[in-house]
Amino acid sequence: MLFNTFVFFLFFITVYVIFLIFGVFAKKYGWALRAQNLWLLASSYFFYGWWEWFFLTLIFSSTLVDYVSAIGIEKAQTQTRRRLFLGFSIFANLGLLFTMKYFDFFSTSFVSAFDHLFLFFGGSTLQPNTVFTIKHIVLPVGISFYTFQTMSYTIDVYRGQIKAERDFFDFALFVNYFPQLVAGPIERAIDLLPQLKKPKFPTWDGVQLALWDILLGYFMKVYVADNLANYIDQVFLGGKSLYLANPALISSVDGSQIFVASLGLVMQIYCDFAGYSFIALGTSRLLGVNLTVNFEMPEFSRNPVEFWTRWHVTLNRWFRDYIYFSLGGSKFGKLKQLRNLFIIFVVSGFWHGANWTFVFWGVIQGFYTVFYVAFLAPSTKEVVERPPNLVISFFTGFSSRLTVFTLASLSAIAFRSYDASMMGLYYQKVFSFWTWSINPGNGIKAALPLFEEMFRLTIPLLILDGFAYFKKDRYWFFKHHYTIQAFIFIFIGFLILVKGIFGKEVIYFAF
Amino acid sequence: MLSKFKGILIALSFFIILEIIVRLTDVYYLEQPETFFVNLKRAYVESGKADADIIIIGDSRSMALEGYVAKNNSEYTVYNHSLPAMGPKYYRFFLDKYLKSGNKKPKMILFTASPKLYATGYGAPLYDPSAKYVTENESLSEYLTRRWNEGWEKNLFHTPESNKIISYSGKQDNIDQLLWEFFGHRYLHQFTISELWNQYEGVERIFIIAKAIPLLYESYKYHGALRNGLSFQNWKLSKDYKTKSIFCETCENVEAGLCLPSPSQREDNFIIEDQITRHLGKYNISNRVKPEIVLFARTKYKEEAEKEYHNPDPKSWEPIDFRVMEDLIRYAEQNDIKFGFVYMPWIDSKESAPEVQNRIKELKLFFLRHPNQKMYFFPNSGYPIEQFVDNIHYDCRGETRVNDEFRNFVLPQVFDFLRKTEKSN
Repeated sequence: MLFNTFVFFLFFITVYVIFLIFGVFAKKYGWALRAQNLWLLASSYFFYGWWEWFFLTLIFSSTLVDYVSAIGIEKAQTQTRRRLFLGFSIFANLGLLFTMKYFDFFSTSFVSAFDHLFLFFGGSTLQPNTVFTIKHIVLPVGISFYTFQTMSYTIDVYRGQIKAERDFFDFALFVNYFPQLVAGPIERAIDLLPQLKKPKFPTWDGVQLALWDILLGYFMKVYVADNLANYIDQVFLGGKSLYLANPALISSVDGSQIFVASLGLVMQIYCDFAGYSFIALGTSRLLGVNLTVNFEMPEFSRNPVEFWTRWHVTLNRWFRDYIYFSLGGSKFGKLKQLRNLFIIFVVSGFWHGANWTFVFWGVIQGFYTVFYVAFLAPSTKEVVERPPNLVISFFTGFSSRLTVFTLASLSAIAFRSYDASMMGLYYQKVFSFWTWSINPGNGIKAALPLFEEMFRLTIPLLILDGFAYFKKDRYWFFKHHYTIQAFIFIFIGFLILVKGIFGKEVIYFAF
Repeated sequence: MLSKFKGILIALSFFIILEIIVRLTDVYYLEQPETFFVNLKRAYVESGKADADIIIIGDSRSMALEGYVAKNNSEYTVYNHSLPAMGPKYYRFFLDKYLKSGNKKPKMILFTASPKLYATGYGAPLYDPSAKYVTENESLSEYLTRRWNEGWEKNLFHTPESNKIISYSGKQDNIDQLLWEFFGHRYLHQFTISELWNQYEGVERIFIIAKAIPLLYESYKYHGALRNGLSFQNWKLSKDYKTKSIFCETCENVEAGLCLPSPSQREDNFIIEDQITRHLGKYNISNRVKPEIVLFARTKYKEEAEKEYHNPDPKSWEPIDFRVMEDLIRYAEQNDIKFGFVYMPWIDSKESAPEVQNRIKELKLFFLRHPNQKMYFFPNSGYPIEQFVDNIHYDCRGETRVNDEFRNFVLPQVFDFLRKTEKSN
């Protein structure tokens, strides 16, 4: 069920009414709290099963494995047994993720490498009837998100940061909680579980913020992202099957068009995912549960490190807490710190998809960050309080933001390419001389009009995000006169009404 | 508490006031022509003032047929209610609405649709993007059982699917999804929720009602008009728009490129309305196309027609299914209305294909089984490709020819038939 469909609206209204009825009694009566949680759990299963009920078996298995493992870890008398339970959880979760997400990729890559090697030694390639591999496995929606969330719980129990949850249904609700089930934010048990175990009822403050979160989320998703997609699809094609059927289509695209489209692509991916995350945030606030903000105006970042603290915050927090720190973080010198940073970006690339293009995207991002940390980042000693020179600070701020945004856009070409040859061709075109034709004969808008159209779509968001970034408060306008609040709500609401595109899938569903 | 929500409440009031304005005005005059056509037709039918003896129902091609005003007692008035691409399900539903809205019951229906709309059944049912495929009028329990079984059958693997992806303008889409997007707004604008409720059953009904509910908020239903209304350009309406409308009825002016759609959406729609009103439902949509595009398209289709291979193997032909026509005939009979089918002329090279000839043969057999209903042909069912703008629609000259022949050759036969049946009654 997509947030941007009417079916979800009907679903949520039904769930919410009954949720509130239980909520009224939940503070006084234990049975009402129990009923509230069971109701949310049943609704979450329905929400997930709407796509394909069979995949409920996977999420249920994952829930069961981590529930048992965590209790096992806590009860274990020896370190070996604790490790065994942890290993069981990690093996089961990663095994599930590997099978569903990466098996096709690895088996195809393996067969291809085998063929190359044999051809090199004068042999012949494997024939389809001589090799058997399992193919066409469906990637269940949200599997990358919920496996990471449940794994983090078991690791936290192992590290002694939280106690193992004894109530299976409460734990199942933590894994399956529908607002954040399929596209995050990836929550840590320490933040989410205690909220779920308490009686839940929204506050008026929460409702006020929730209404803005939801409106902003829809604005980002159905107005900015889905309208931008119309332009970006012209350059990057609408889908892989179209590209595979007509690979020649991409040969006529000019470097200028690719470059401009990549600028829009970053905004499209940001708005598509952040929009969905804000709807999740707002929906959850209405249920009286606060989720982590997953995106914090990343387009205004001044350097790669800031960018990654503002973009998909919960995934990067996961990588930091469970991989970067496990590898030693910055404890063992600068060189090892750089290596650790680079590793998490490659892993992040691989998390995004079973394709070399994502791995390459991770490598580029890793390179940006490592280069910045190694050569450009001021050490803490260098940061000295000086009276700001407004002119200099404006120009340095502007140029560094523009540079970071452009670098992110260039890496997005790899992110969006369907295979390595498309990626290679598009990078070759971007870094060659551009034709800059005013009337390109390839059916795609010329670079400048393309930029104008995309800029027109994104400018309202850039203004909103700009205020939020520099005021360091996403809800800044609630502190101003109500007419300003009304103006913003009307303006954003009107744009959604007249130009929103409803029902399109979310890009991150594929991850 | 109220002070917290003051801004939000003002915003809410704005959208309520907007809704009142939209409901009190004919805002659809600012819509794109496709949506405008449907709304204009809906308003006309719902007015209950339609009084034609014979109504034409068909598609975008047959929209080119002009109605007729009876000149004496032996003739009948004809009004064209064709609309572009409404899909095969539309016709029976439209007739039902027409009759229930208090319009004068027509003596006869002339069905003028293209083969896709009468000879291939109802096609795929409406596609529900979030609830997977539904089969036609499938009950909820059948649907749940099927989904349950499908879950076991395919479990972790993709179901092999027929290639339903089509590409256009650099985009790709599932053809079912595209068809819904294409036809969806037409159904939702033409029919009320209660009409839609009665037209469908089972899961399809749930699907269509879920789609129709958001349109109860008419500001959303006419969001295209609101968007167009933001530009002053779209509000302009010159006083002499009717003169422009008449000026654009000669082929010379159309072919000289003097009759392109007005830059003002409102004026464009007023001109469309004027032509539809004066010509009793006729509007040839291809007269809006730029002459250079017509020339380009015609050259392309001509080249394709020359290379075209007519497959003589019946196994490769699309199966023939006259269910749509069968249902229409049954409906007409139940309401004591005569039914006639007009075989509209097509490109001669395509018309000569064995598959098409076979369909005509089947059509004739079909009407032999329905002796009380009539089938009408034009003097020649194949027109030269020069009289088309693409592989479906007539150009201005094709339109002139088809109307001359319709008026002088087809209609006299229709009138004759009606007179005789009236006398025999």
